[in-house]
Amino acid sequence: MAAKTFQEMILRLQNFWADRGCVIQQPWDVEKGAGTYNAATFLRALGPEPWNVAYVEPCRRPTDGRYGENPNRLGSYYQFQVLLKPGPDDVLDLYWESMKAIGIDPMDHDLRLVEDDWEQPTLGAWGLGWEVWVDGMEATQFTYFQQVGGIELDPIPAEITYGLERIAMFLQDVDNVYDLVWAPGVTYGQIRHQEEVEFSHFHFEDADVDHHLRWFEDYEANARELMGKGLVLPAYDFIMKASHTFNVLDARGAISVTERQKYIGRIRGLSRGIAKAYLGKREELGFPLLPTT
Amino acid sequence: MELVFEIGCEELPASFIRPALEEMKALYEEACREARLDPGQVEVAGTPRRLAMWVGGGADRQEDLEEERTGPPAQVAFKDGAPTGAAQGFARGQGVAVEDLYTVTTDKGEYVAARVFEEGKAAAEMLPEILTGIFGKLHFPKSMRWGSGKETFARPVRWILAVCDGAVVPVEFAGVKSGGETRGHRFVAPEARKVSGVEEYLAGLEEASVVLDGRARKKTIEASIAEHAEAVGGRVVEDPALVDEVAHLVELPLAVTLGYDEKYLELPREVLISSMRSHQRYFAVERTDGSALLPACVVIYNTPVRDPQVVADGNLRVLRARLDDARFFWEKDLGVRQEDRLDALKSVIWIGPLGSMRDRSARMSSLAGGIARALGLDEGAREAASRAALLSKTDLVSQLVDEFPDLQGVMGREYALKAGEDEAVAQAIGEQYLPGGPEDPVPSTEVASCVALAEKLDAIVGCFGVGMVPDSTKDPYGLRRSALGVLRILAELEEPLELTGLVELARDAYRDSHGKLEGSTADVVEFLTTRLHFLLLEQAPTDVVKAVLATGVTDVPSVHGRIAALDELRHREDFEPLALGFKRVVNILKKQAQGVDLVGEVDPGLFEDGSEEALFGAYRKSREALDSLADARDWRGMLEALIELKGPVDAFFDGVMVMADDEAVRVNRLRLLEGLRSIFFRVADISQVQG
Repeated sequence: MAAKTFQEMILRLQNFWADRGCVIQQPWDVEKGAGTYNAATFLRALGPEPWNVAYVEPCRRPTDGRYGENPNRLGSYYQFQVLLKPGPDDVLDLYWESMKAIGIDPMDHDLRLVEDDWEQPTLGAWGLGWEVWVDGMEATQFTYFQQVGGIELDPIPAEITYGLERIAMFLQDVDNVYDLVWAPGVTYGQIRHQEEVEFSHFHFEDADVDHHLRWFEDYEANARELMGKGLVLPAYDFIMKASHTFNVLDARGAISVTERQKYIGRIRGLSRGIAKAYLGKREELGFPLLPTT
Repeated sequence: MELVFEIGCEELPASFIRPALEEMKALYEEACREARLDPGQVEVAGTPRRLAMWVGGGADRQEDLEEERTGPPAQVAFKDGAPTGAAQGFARGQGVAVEDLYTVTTDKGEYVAARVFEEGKAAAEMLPEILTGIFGKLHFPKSMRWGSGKETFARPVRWILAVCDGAVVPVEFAGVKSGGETRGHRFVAPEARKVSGVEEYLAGLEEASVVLDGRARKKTIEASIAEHAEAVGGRVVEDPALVDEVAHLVELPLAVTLGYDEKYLELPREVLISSMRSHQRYFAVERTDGSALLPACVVIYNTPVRDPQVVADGNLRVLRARLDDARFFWEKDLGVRQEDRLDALKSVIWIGPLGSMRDRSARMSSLAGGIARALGLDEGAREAASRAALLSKTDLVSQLVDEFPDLQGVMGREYALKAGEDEAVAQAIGEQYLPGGPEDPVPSTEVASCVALAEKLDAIVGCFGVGMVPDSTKDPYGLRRSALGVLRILAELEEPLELTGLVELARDAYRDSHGKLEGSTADVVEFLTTRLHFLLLEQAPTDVVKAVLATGVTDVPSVHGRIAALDELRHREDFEPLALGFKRVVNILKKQAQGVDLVGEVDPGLFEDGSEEALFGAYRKSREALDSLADARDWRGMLEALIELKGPVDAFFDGVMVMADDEAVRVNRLRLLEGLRSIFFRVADISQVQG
C-alpha cells in the first residue's frame, strides 16, 4: 500500500530502518546543503566505529529557489538519510524492501541502478554508486563512500539518500510539489510555500552582501580557533555556517567565477582539518562505539 | 574439461562491462598457458550484474614438464669426485638423487645439471589459483572498496559461480566463497539457482529472465525500438551509442512507447533529443522521412512488470517535467537580445589571464575575418565569418546551455536564426566546435571553417602567450584536441594556408588587449607540427613523415600530398639508390661545406668532367619542371622528376671527387650539390627514407 501522505511516508521509512537496527537521529540544527553534512554522516563515517543511522534532514540550496513558482524546484527541501557502516552485504535488498514499505513494489515499477559517482569537493569527499531510478525518476542517491575530508575510509559506509518530495509526488501522483498532501487535510504548499517565496527574495535580492562576506571570514576564523583548542564539534558548526554563508553569497550573485574557486578551496581546507581533528579525538576517547570484546 | 565461471556483482557501470569481459578472457587464457594448460574454447558474456566466462574442450591435465636445469659449477659441486653440500642442495631442490646429477659444458665452463620430470597436474587442481588471480588483475577505470574488505573491484562482488565438470572450484575474493549457484533477474528470479554445466547455466539464465549476451540484448533493443516507432508511424532517430549503452544497463530489455504533447515540438530538435537522451536514455522518434520529430519516444526498461502502462506513465511524468523545464528556458532565452547576451559575456571568465568571453569574441571576430581574407573569400563571406565569430559564444549565457552544456553552438545557431541573422552566420555558429573528436566531420562551409579555426587558434595562441603550455600530463584546455581540429580543417580547405601565417594572424588579434604575447610564433607552430606529425603517423610510416616535415613546410594539404606521393613512390626500385645518392649529397654538405659560401652561382667553366656538365644540365631541367609542377601542386610529378636525377647523380659521384684540391673547383661542386639539395627539399628530405 502506497503511503498516502508525506508524513506517513517518512514515518514508514523511519520505522523500517529502526526495525533494521538503525539509530533514528534528528536533523543537525545548523543550515546545510545536504544530509551528508549532518555530523551523523560526515563525521561518523570516519574511523573504525560501526554506525547505523537514519534521519530526516532539511537541506537548503539557495540557488535552487524559484519564488514558489516552479512545480519541481525548491530552495529548501527534505532528504531521508541512511548511513550503514560497514554497509552490509544485503544492503541493496534492504533498500528495495524499504521502497516496498512505502508502496513501491519492484514488480510494479521499473527500478534501476544507474551509475552515478558522487563527489563533493567542499567536503573533500567522494564515493561510487548509483542514482536509483523508479520508472525513469531519480528517487535515491546510493553511495559507497571511499573518502571523507580527504581521509580514506575503513570500513566503507553505504549512504542512502532518498529525495522525499520527488518520491512523494510519484506516490501521490501529483505534478506540483505544493499539491502534495503532507498530513490529512494539509498540503505541502500550505506549510512551505510562504517560506519558499520569502527565502527566494532574501537569497536573490535582500541578503546583505557585506554582512555575509564578513560572517564568512568570522566563521572561518572561529572554526580554526576552535579546532586549535580541540573543540571539534563546535568548530564543525562554524564550518557549516561558513559553507551556508558561501551558498547565500553565491545565490546573491556576489561571488565571481575566480573567487568561487577560492572560497571552495577555503571550505575544503576546513573540512580536511575537521575530519582529521575528529578522528584524532575519537581515537583519544578510545573509539567509544567499537564493540567491547 | 568444461568450466562455468561467473562473477556476480552489484550493478556495474555500462561502459565497464565489455572491456572487463575481454580482459577476463585474455587473463584466463594467459594464465592457462603459463600453467601449461590448453585453455580450450573460451566464451565470455555479461550483464550489469554478472561477468561470465565458460570454457569447453579445455585440457583436463597440465602438460608434463621435462627439462634440464643447470646448477653450480662442477668444480664447486664435486671435490675429488665426491659430491659437496652444493651438489646435495641442488639435487634436493630439483627432487633428484645426487647420483643422477651429470655434467654439462656451457660457454662459462662445466656445470652440474639435473634432468627433472614433473607430471602434469589435473586442471581442477590448477583452476582455483588461475580463477582467483583474475579478480586482482581485472582492471576498471574506477574501482572501489566495500564493507570491511580491502579488495577493490568496480562494484561489490556478491557471489561467485565456479564449476568445473560438475564440481565447485574453490575460489575466494573479498570474503565471497565460490559455489555452484547463480542468480536470475534481480526482481523476477532472485533465488539461488544450481548450475552444474554450461548448457544448464545458459538455459537457466534464460529461464530466470536474464539475456546474458550483450549482442543479443542489442539486437532485441534495435528490433523493438524500430517496431515501437513504426507503430506510431515513425522511425527511431538513429543513435548506435545509445543502443549500446542501454543494452548494458539492463538484463532483460523490454520496450514501451511514451507519447508526449505536440506543443513541445516547437522546441528545436536538438533540445528535445537532449532532454530525452542525456538524462533519461530515451530513443527519440521522427517522421519516416526524417523531416521532423514525432511527439513520441521509446523507453527500454528492465523488469517484466505487471502493467507496462504504469511504467510508461511514470516515465512520461519525468519527461514532461524535463520538457517543461526546457520550454521554460527556451522561452526565457528568446526574450533576450543578442546584444545583451554579448554584453553579458563580459562577466564570463574564460581563462583567467586571457580576459572575458566578450574579449574572446572580439578577437575571434577579427581573426575569422582575417582567415576569410587569406582564403580569398568575397566580402559577404568575410563579413559573415566575422559576425558569426562575434556571436559564437553568446549562447553560453543562455539558460538552455546552462542546463544542457552539450548544446553549446547548436543553441547559438537557433538563437541567431530567431534573431534574423543570415543562414550562413547561424550555420557557422552551429559548427564552430567541429571537429570535436576524430570521428566528427569538419565544418561544412568555408565561412564555418574560418570561425572554427578562429575558435581553436585563439585558444592555442592565447594559452601559449601566457605560458600555459600543455605538457604530457596536463592539457586542461584541450589544446591538443584543438590543434588536431585545426589541422584537419586545413587539410580539407581548397586554398592552402601556411601555419606560420595563421598563427601570426591569431597573435595579432591579441595585440590590442595584451600587447605582445609571451613566447614566439615558432613555439606555437612547433606545437602544431608536432601534432601534425602524430596525425600523419596514422597514415604513413615514421621515416616518410619525418622526411616531409624536415622540409619545414607548414601548408597542411601539401604535407598530406607529399606524404601520399612519397609513400607510394618509395617502393619503386629506382627509389632506394636515389635515396642513397641523396644521402651522400646531404652528408657531404653537412661535413665538408662548413664555412663555404654556397649561395653563389655554379660556374660551368670550372667543370672538369662530363658528369658534372650532365648533372648540372639535368638539375636545371628538373628545377624548371619542378616550378610548374609545384604550381599545379603535383607532388607525385615532382617526385618523379627528381627520380630522373638518379642516373646523373650516380655518374657524378663515379666520375669526380667532390673534395678536389683546387678550392674553386671544390666550391663549385659543393654549390652544385647544394642546388640539388634545395630542389629535393621542395618535396622531401628523402635521405631520411628507409626505402
